[in-house]
Amino acid sequence: MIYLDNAATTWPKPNQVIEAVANSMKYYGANPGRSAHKMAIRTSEKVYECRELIADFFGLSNPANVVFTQNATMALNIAIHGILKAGDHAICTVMDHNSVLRPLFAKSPDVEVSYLGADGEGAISIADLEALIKPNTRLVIMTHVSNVCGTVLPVEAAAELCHNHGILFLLDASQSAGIINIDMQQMKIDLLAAPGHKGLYGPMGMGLLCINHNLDLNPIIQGGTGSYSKELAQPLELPDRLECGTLNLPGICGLAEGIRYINRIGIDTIGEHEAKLTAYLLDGLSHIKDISIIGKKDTLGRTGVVSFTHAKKDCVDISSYLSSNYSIATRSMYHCAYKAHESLGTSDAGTVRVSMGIFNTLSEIKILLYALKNMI
Amino acid sequence: MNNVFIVFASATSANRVKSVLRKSFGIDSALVQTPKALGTYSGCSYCLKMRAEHLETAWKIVVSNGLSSKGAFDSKDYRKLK
Ligand SMILES: Cc1ncc(COP(=O)(O)O)c(C=O)c1O
Repeated sequence: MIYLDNAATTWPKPNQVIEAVANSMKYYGANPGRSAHKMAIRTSEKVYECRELIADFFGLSNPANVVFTQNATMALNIAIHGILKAGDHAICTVMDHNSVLRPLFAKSPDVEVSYLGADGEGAISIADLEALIKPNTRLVIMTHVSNVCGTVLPVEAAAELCHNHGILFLLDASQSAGIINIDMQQMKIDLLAAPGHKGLYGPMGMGLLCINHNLDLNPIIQGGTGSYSKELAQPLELPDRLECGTLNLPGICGLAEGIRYINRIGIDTIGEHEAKLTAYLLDGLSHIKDISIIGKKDTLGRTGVVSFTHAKKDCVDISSYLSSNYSIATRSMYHCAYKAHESLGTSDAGTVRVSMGIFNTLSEIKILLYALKNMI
Repeated sequence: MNNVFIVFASATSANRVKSVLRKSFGIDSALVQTPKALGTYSGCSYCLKMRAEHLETAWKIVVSNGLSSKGAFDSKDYRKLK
């Protein structure tokens, strides 16, 4: 199979990730932070080791501020519901995913929401963002990279602007974590939500929320933490305040190995590899009759998430043609980001999305282009 | 050899001090089950055990990071030291 659906979840996972997941069940099979027998203690140390690894990876000084979640959606929900209260104003962009748009919609009208527009390539303007700021703006949320067309948003400038206005900045790093370097302190990012299962190469069912300083987020779920057991109120300390119930140990151990794998290869190398494949793909697509690339046409300011449409063929038909005839996995239609499609002019029928990962090769892209050229 | 226990409210805090002790000061400590005698202080079931001579260093880490410890205790008579 030629897997080009890495924006949904990366596949395959590195062998060391698979081994770590299996080993976690053998050697880290106890409930950390609860019981105090040897295996529980060893498991608790393992969980902390992973928090440290993630904190280092994202330039976070306190590993306790790494909160494990089941995916990026949960991390975004914990942040959005935990921060915003009635009377607040929040800003997101039209390029954001439903995992941002829907929790914000659920908070309205108690919370007023403004949508920062984008141009036909998915780019936004910092001046437009500034113009949306109000005295009660509490939170700005922005995807780092569009999951529809791969456009990179100017998140560093946006975070700086928010910092200067005393507004919290929440980065949705779902399409950038593991592909673009992120240093939360340097970039003044207050909160970062990321999936563990995409560019970080961990297993599905893993996500994380990183909190840059001591913010008190209202927990959206309450329950057992193994700490402060005599008290009915949810503990104030992180990560226990936002993380309760039994953790996904196989997921955590797998994610730790995913991050080690990235550290070993180097984010820049991963970025360069994907850029090389993307350049080849964009060039090839631009020469195929009836195909239009959606978003940026060259590799500048974009990642390896590439969308296209066909003048005569339906997106779903193209994806099923690629799957049935060439075993090529792509995604078609809308990508849980309808407002982005409106901006990009693809709201009628969506797009075919091709998304690269570290394991893709140039010959796979050649086969894809061959298949598209020979589509009848 | 005298040992001390530092009792924490959460496993993450205990792990944090253990890690900083090792990485920044080369000091070994161990996560252990909180002794029954200290149970009333315990917020979680773990405490950090180390040689008494390292207590000051460990306590500085606790204080400077704003960690909520339930106290430090002598391992023999459970006398409260901090
Ligand atoms: C930009 C963006 N945000 C959030 C998400 C949600 O991620 P998860 O499936 O881990 O909840 C995705 C998933 O595709 C995404 O692309």
